[in-house]
Amino acid sequence: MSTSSSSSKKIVLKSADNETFEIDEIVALESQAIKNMIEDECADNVIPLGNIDSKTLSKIIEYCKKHAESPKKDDNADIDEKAVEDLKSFDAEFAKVDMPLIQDILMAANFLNIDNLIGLMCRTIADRIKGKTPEEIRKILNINKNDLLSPEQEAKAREENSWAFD
Amino acid sequence: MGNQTSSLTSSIPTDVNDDIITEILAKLPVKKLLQFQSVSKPWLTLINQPSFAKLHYEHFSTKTHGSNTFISAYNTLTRHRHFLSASRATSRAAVATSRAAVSCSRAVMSGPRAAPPKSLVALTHLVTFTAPSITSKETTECEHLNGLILFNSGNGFVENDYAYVTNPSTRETVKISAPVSVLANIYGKVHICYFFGYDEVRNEHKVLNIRMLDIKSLKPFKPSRVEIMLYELSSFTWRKIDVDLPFDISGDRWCYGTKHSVCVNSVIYVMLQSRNEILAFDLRTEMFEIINLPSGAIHDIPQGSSKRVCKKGLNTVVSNQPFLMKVHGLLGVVCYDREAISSQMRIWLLKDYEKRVWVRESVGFSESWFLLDGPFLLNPYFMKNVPIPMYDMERRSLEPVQYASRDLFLHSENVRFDHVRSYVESIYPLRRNRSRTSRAG
Repeated sequence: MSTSSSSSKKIVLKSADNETFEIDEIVALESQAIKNMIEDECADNVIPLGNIDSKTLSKIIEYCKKHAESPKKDDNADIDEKAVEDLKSFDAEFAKVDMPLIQDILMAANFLNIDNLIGLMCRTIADRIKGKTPEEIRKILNINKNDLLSPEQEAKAREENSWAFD
Repeated sequence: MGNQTSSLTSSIPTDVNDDIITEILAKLPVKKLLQFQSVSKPWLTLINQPSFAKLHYEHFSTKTHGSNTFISAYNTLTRHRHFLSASRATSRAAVATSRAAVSCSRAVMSGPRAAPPKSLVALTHLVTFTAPSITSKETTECEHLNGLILFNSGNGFVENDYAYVTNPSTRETVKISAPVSVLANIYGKVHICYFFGYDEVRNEHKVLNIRMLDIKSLKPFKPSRVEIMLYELSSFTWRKIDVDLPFDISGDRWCYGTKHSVCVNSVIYVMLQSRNEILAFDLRTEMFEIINLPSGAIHDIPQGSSKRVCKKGLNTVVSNQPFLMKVHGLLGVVCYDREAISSQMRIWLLKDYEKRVWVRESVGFSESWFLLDGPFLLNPYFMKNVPIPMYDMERRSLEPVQYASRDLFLHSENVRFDHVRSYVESIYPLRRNRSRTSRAG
């Protein structure tokens, strides 16, 4: 009932670099943060997202569109397996981007509160850092120099668990 | 846009995004986490937090059920106790590629009498210690709970009273000194039991110690005092609990039967074999309660003196003792007298602790699970190329697993496997935690 009326309703998102994206409200509702704004009626027609650039935002919209279209698990208990597989392969393809963009999407998904997307990005990062050394991870994730362990601390951490470094 | 990207990227490791880093790290195996402690100070702190260990455990307990095995082995020649672990991932790989199985099993293949097992699982050595000589009457007990293993000197009148807690995933082991007991010296005869518990609310492992005391000269053993102590793994100290057991200890045959416990939702359950009742200790309230078996389960137990004993090889099993186990996060009771010869195992599950609602469920096996030695190891195994039957939860089948003990032991024929337990990978800190506490104090 409300689905038909809301699907036609449009929401405009504005990125940090002032690009605008007009999307169906149902797509925007994938974001818990936007959903709350709409429900609290504090959203204007245009929602400015000052900390998300257009490249990141267009990826996020691509993700939300696909997930909004797919049947939800709680809608139907015996959801057809093909749809689940389809969504899985979409997610796998979606995550095939470089590390800086993954992190930007993750930060934005966190800001917009899109649970599934946060989970997907975290899994992707976990998979990518799995085979790396601590040194490589520091580079990949841009770890702050002030947060590094002292040489003594690092030696101790290594010594206590030397078997893990074999 | 470029500026935007780099500022977002560098914001990843800040405090605001601790939750995200936690989410990422919770998906990594323990070995990786131990390496990644040295990435940064915030990572080191996070990885060592008990709250992180809990999150990580919850993630892994749903993903990889029963894929790892802990083994406590005893070398009768050297009198050394060994803690070993084995990963079932190794076993799967060996099954998948027959060449791998052949190459790593060459040592055993030299003289096999029985049919070659499907796979030969590599063993990892965790720790060795000199165990006090074990008399024929003494046993050891071993239990897995939320990633940690409690190994102790067993139920009974043990002379060498000790307990160890080990985390097979991080390869940490700590010895728990037996609680100091003044009464034990006065009374002389002490029956000791250790039970493993996990307090969900405080996210902490605890060890319950029950000592029944009697004057040495009196026979038979008729306890007149009880001492109850609780060990907390966060502080590494014993604490006396001033509560009474909810039954008359002098009239109870407490020392009869093995005392195996199960911890579910912060409650430790112990089967009282002589009464067919369950003793429950709630870690949150630190109170004892008696829980009756469901009437249907009591019906399964033969009454009176019909104590049936089954023999299989050298193993003797008394089959009319109800057995406690944990099934899908619930307390389960198996009354396996009737089950022994059938391929079905009936389990009574305590669905509602407050209202004492029991539900009966059945698990089917391909053949009599008793003939396959059951889902738990009832007796020690000597390493004479004997495959150990393991129940695979994923495949829902029993399969013989043979361990490559000859790679580790010079005289593997003297090495006895006392306990084989599956465990879930976890990063619960033991030694790391203790060294930090003692430094702070």
